[in-house]
Amino acid sequence: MLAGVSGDDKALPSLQTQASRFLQEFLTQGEALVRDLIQENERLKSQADGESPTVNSVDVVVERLVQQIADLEHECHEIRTLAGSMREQSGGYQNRLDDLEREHYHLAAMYVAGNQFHAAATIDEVFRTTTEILLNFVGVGGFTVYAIDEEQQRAFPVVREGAELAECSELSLSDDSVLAALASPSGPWRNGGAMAASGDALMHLPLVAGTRLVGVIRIEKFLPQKNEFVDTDFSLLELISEHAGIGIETAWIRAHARDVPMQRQALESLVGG
Amino acid sequence: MIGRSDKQGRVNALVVEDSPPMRKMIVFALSRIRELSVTEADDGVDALRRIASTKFDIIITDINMPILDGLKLVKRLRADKAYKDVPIIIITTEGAEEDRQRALALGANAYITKPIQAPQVIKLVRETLGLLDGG
Ligand SMILES: [Mg+2]
Repeated sequence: MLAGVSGDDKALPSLQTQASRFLQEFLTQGEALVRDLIQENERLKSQADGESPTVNSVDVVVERLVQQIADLEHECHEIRTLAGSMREQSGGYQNRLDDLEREHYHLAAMYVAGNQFHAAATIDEVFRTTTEILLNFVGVGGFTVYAIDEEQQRAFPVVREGAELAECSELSLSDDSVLAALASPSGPWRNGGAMAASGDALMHLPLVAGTRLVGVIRIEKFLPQKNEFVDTDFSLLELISEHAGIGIETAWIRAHARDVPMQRQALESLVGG
Repeated sequence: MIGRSDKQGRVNALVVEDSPPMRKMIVFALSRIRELSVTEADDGVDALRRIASTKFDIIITDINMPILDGLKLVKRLRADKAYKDVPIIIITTEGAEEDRQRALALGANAYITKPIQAPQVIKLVRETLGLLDGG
């Protein structure tokens, strides 16, 4: 602390003495301050060289960040795995749904085809239905439908798709080896039964009413986008073999029947067997 | 998505096909899309008759039909102001590439090949109408 100023002028030392004391005090305090600064500088230097707390805290921060990154990467990996399995599962469900839609559609196709045959009142309608089912439901692009002349024991072409009907000739049921094998069926064609393929045919499908052969379809080629039969085709071919056969026989009988009004007595005798 | 026409907010679809079993199967496949209300037409002439009384949001038509075939129908629809932009899907057989190209050139939007498969029909109609899956 510098010397105070007193109000008593007579008691005051000389101006020179005051200046000398002030300077001495000033220099002493300055020396102490410089000493303190040197000490503090040394302390900081030793900290920086030795324990280095600043670098240490950077290391800690970096370490913590590396750990956080590792945790996030782990979490990300888990989420990716979860998303992958969910995608797989939903893909599975989508495939299953598509399968069910296909199955559902196939059953509907069987139902519609059966209905069409039952609704066909004339032989022409039976053949038209047969053509539509083969072409649109099975995907057969080339085929010939033969009807049977039972008296002559010959099969003659009546409908052709994918080629000219006129180019097709009639066949003998006994001389043609493929038709001979179909001439006396034990029932309609069933999946797993003989395809009766030949040089120009993928299959010969018999049209059967009970055990009576009433027609044959020679299946010649698929539509371009199709190259083989699949399971659902076989059940449609079974349906055609049986229902087109019954349809042809029924239409034939109807074409030759006399229209008689229904009568109770006649009906009762029929119901009573 | 495409504008919905009827009061229940359903999309009106017209199926034009002369073969009854084929028509039934297309309608069956479309019945799996619950947003659709489906009307059937026997051929192109029947389609024009139905179009005169109802506004449809999508038309699915066969090409080979008697009297007014699918190509003529597409042409007539595209000349009609009300049907200038309505999506038309044609149904063709794989061999009929020429018909398909002509129909697309006349303004049809897409095609389905016979024999049709329900999932393909459903997917194409949904995509064409901008409907979400599973509706
Ligand atoms: Mg047609």
